[in-house]
Amino acid sequence: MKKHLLNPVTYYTRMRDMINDLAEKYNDQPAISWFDKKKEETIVSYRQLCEDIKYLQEAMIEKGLAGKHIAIVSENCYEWLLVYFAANYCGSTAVCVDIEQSDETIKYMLSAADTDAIFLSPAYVDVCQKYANNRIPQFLMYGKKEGYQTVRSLIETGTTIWLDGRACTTMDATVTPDMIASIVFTSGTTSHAKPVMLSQSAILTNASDALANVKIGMRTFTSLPFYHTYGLTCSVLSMLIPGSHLHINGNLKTVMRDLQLSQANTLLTVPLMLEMIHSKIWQTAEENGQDNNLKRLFKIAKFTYSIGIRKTLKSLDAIRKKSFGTINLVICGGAHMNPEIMEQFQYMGVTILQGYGITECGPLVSVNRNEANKLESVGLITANCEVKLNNGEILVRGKNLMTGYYNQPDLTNEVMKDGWFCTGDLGEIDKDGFLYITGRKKNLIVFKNGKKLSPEKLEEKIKKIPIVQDVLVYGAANGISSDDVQVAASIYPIPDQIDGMTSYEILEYLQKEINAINDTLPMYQQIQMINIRDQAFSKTSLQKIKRHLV
Amino acid sequence: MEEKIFKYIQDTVCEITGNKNLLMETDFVKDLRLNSYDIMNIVCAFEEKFDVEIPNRDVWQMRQVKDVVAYMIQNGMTEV
Repeated sequence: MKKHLLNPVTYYTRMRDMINDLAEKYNDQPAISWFDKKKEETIVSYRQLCEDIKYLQEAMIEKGLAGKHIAIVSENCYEWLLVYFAANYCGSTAVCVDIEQSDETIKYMLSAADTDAIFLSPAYVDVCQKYANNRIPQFLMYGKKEGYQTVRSLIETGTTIWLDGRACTTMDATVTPDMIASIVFTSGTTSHAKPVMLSQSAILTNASDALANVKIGMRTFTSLPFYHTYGLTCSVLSMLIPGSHLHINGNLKTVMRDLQLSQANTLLTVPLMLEMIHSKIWQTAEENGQDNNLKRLFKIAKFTYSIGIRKTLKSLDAIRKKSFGTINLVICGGAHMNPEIMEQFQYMGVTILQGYGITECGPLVSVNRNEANKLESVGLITANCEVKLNNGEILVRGKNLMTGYYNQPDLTNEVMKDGWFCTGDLGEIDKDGFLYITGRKKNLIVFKNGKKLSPEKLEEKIKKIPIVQDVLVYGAANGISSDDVQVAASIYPIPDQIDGMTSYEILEYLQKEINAINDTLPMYQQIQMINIRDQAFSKTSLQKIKRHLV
Repeated sequence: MEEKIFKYIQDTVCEITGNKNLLMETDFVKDLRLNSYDIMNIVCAFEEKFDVEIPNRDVWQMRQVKDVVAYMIQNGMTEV
């Protein structure tokens, strides 16, 4: 196996050490930026960031919030990060609430994490009030609302405490690396959200591990939600540790505008955004009658790449500038990314590095490297993380692992086996050490003959049928015993594509296509049942089908 | 008034997504298969037209065309 040298990177075990060190190292360099409605940019330096955090934590201590569970119910904003860091600075746990969930689920999350105080943005006043019911303190991230103190006013309080010489001097000795930094909820394709506890040291080790594998640019952009570990660990902490200038956005309405305005060179995102950019490129080409020309350009690029010429064609570079602005490196995770799209972006001069992570692991387990990138793979295992395969299932061990599920020891014991976390994902590792995800263990179809099938493999083939929007392959009961199954496919067609077709015509067309796929499969794997859905599948916020709801 | 608003929504959705077949009960995600970016593009068109800001939290509550019609009437966005 070829050894790849790790990039040099600083490791921290406590959030407060990292914050103090960053302020000292990068001082007046820009740390975080965002754009308002009028495209005006606000820039905060590393020194300012550190001061805001320190003053905010002083106010938190005065309010009796040190060592407590502090929920953040807000879209991405600078204050989100201040509250998170300030909470960790004074040994509190940040409860990171997924705000795309229903009111009921938000209330469940606040309750499941035993929330002691809530920091919320104006859009969540009602739902938080319903939960808090004046029992627990609430603070507003920004804006104005009668009866609510804002983060800004808390910072002012903290500044006064500091200037009066009343700052807390004992906290540094109290905060330890194993303190829980975050309680984060898994999005869960197969079960309900579970509260994952991650320690300060687990998250920080994971953030530095990401940098040991990936060299990022010095202007970075993220629109990933901070309440997901991928958003917080990889797209915030990993970007701040080397002193990059991080542009944040939490609004899909302005994400493409801000991406261009930021002039960033590194983007962290999920496949959905890349697929959207990709389809827009092709849509524009078609509208201008240039689609055949574009196909030809990619063909030429493919050929030149195959003979080792890595220079981007001028026309493709122009498309890159229009679609991606100054971005030349994209780190993509959260779901499977289509390698064909990655290949086309590569020819345009944009490198896509795919990674693999899971909330319980901090989240990062593996990521491709700038100089060692395999498009089909999710990359090389990170430095402080070990991976082994048990009957194909990926097991993970390392400093990045969660402490457990909050208040759910039985559930924790179910997934931890002798110090290894059982991911439930199936994978393979090649001779060079690259990891490949082949499916989900829980989705496995087990046949009477003892053979198993990952439905994802078949789903990928079926998804290539032009009229298929989404598909779910499963084992349909065929007899008395549970393993007596036949392979079935539930298909949701693209509404526009089947416009004017009768149900019979749709089924006939699909059957013909599926027969062709069946011809390439061993007998037991062949799809024997097709059902057509008239409603789309329910999906998680990362656009994965919720299998347990089907 | 509802009819006028419905027609406006139909035209806007068609302009942005190419989808023409809208009913009051049409669900943006389940029936039209719009992803979050498509939905936000439609919202931006509404915001521009009425010079208002529609909070994202409100956006995710509107699942069907009829929800949008009700929201527009409730928020005085009726000059279509």
